[in-house]
Amino acid sequence: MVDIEERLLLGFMQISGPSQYRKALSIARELLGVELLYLAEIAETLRPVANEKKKLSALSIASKEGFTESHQHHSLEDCFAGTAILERKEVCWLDDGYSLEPISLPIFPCFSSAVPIFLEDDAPPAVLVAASAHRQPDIQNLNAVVKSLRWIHRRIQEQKTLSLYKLVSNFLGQDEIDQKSVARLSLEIAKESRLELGAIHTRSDPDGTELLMTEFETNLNLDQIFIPNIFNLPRDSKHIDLSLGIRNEITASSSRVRTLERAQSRLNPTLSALYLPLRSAGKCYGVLELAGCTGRPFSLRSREIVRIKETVLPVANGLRRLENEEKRNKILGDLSSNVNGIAKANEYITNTLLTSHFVKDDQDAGLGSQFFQELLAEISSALPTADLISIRGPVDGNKLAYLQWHPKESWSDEDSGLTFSLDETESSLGKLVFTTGQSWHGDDVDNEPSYKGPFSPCKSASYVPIRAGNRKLGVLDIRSRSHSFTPGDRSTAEILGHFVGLAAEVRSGIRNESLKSMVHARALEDLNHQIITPLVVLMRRAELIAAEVETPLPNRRTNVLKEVLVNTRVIKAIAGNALRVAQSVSCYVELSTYGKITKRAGKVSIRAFAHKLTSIISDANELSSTENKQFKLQSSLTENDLRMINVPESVWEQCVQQILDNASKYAYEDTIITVTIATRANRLVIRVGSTGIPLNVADLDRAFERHWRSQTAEDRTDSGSGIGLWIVKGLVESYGGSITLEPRKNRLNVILMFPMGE
Amino acid sequence: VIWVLCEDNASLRVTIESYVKSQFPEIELQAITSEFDFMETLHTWKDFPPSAFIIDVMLRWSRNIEASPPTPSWYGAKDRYRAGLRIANLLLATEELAASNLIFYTVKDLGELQLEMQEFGLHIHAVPKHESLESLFRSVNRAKRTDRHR
Repeated sequence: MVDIEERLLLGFMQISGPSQYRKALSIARELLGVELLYLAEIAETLRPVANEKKKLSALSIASKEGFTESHQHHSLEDCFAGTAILERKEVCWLDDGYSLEPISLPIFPCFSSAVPIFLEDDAPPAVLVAASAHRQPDIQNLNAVVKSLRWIHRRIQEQKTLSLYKLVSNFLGQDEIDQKSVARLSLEIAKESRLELGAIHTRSDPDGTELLMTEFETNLNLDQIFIPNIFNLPRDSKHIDLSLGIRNEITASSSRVRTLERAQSRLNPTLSALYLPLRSAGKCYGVLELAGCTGRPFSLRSREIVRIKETVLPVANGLRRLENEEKRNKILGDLSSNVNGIAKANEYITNTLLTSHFVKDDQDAGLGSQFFQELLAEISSALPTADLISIRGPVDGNKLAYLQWHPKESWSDEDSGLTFSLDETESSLGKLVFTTGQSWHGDDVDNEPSYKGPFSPCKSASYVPIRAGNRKLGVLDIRSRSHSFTPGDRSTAEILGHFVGLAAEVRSGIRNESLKSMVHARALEDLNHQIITPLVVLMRRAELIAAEVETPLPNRRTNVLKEVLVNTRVIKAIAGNALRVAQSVSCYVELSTYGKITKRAGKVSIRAFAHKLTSIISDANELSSTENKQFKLQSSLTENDLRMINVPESVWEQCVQQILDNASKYAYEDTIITVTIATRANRLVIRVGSTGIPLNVADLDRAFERHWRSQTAEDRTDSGSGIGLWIVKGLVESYGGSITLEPRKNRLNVILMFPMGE
Repeated sequence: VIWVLCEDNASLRVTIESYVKSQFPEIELQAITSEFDFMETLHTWKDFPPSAFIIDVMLRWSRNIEASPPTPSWYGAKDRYRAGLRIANLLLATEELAASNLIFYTVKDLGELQLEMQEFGLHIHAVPKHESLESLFRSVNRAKRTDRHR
């Protein structure tokens, strides 16, 4: 059971690119040993049909024989009973992926098993069906697949969120925002969300429709395109009351919004439609309509929609600047200096969150962590007129207190006693209500209640809610001592508040494993690279040997033999290196899963050790000669020493090869790496010293962390996954040995010690 | 005839060099081992543009020597994985070099890079780094043939 879960996850980690569910099912099908694996969702038919069983529609199918995806529905009950099968007429043979021919394989009738699956807690129910012509698929194994599919689903959702987020970030960072760019953004959002949209449209057709239609039809192959023109809605339009709805419900009350009738007439038949309000500061600036003619219906509970809604919010802020030409120019002028700051904040969040900050496993996961302090410092540049920007979160019931704050100048932190009502602060949008009942508007300096705080007096204040999904996390509190905030500042603050919320959400996500798994996946990708590269070279060298040997030139025999010898030596060295990397993979899995490596019995004599080490160093020299690095061995071992090293040969070899590989990787070009071996008490000591990329004393402990690599090492070496020292430490310690690092000026010594005995 | 090979792995570099040398002795293969070295050398090719660039998409920033420059401020943790694409963009932005043949090879999924590579135009070849260098060598041969026809 554990085994199949592990294998599934390892397989899933490699998946990337489009059709990820299908790829995951293919891997799972292979592991389960069944002919067909079929993920189906209950079709959410928007039209109520009386006395009809709930239907299933296929999401993805993986099969050995290349079954085509069927649009035919199967009843849920039949699937649970294991009697839902694909009929012969649906089963087709996929010839090279292009032509369809009837299949003649006797695959059905078959044994089939099904288990329920909820890809997310609030997602529609679905079933996973496995079918085999030979045996009953194991339900326990199917449940393992369900668990793993939920994992990959979470990963895909994270990727989608980040993709959407990047799109909006880029959009807001543009110098000029016009209708064309809004149209493009809407379509990109739809494309990223894989909503299978039939159309995206709003209320009226702006100029240049034909041009955009052609462009988007080519890119997206949609059924019908309408260009978003969401600025022309009257502000008092009742659209704002519609919020999120489905088409049927809205058309039922179409008298309230006349334009919907026109929309309906232009888009028939419509399978599903969604209306997303574009709001900012409590006002609605339009509705983004997503309507689909093909594919599956949208689900109101779908997280995808929620994510779009969240993404659309900051877009609304950007669009607000366009509603009035004169106002737009003024606000854009005001904001021109802020744009760079926003772009910088975007870049910071999108780039940094995914790398070092996520890997850093600090204990404080809340808004008060060091991470958010750094984030505030970074995004403060987006608001040049603010003197203080802080995050406040609930610490006692629904009261707010300062969690993190970032002043432009030095402020004293004397305000920790103040608390504010979260609900009041959130809804008042600029109006701060004290728990004492006193109220104060940020612009009203004269009537400001007296209190001792680090930022009194201030001329202007703005409070923006920070949300993660539907959860209220706190508010972003922005203050200026000398400036009044403009509407543009307010818009920027809202965007930043959205970023902080998103950052908090994504950050908490990593603690729930998914992004950590991305780090694992990246490590595996690196290992993959480290294995493939030597194998590629190895294959080529072998081909050269074969070609040389087959050359019928007797008078060149000596040269041929010399070539063969050289190539064979290189092959041996590369194969040894590749073997070590391959061994690292199994150690990686074992250490990741169980936190330790299982000890195996085995000993090696000093003499055998010395002999083998000489050979290993000779191989290492063979590989590093291209970069003019040379290994030199200094030994004080004596042949009379009859003690044994209490470690199996494969283990010490793997450790030593890893240390030599590190030394070769990190040593400067044209340098000598010294390897010294000696015995001390009951220990064998191997010291590898080289001049190369420096290691700071402060990083000594981090060097043994999994996935940690110094930035300089990342920049200057061609490969590496940051797991070598972590694995060696795990290995030597499980055999009672040790590994230490000695940083010296321009030099690093790595010292390995193995226990010895009789 | 000058060709450029952008590859930071020494073993692989030697292997590709030896192939090109054996098949096309007229080609002088210039090796570039880091993105920084590429940027430093770029201007020297303007007078005598190389016919082709063979580029490993994943390339380190600088060589491992004491005097190596630090990474620029825009350089992020994932940028090493896309160095080859930046190199191609630099070539396309340089008038004298924009028409050179580009041969990409990578251990990464080509599907992920396909869209960006398409923007580089028609004179590119992109091949996966499989268990042998067969496909890369085929692309080299193809690029050499194209070069002859020019």
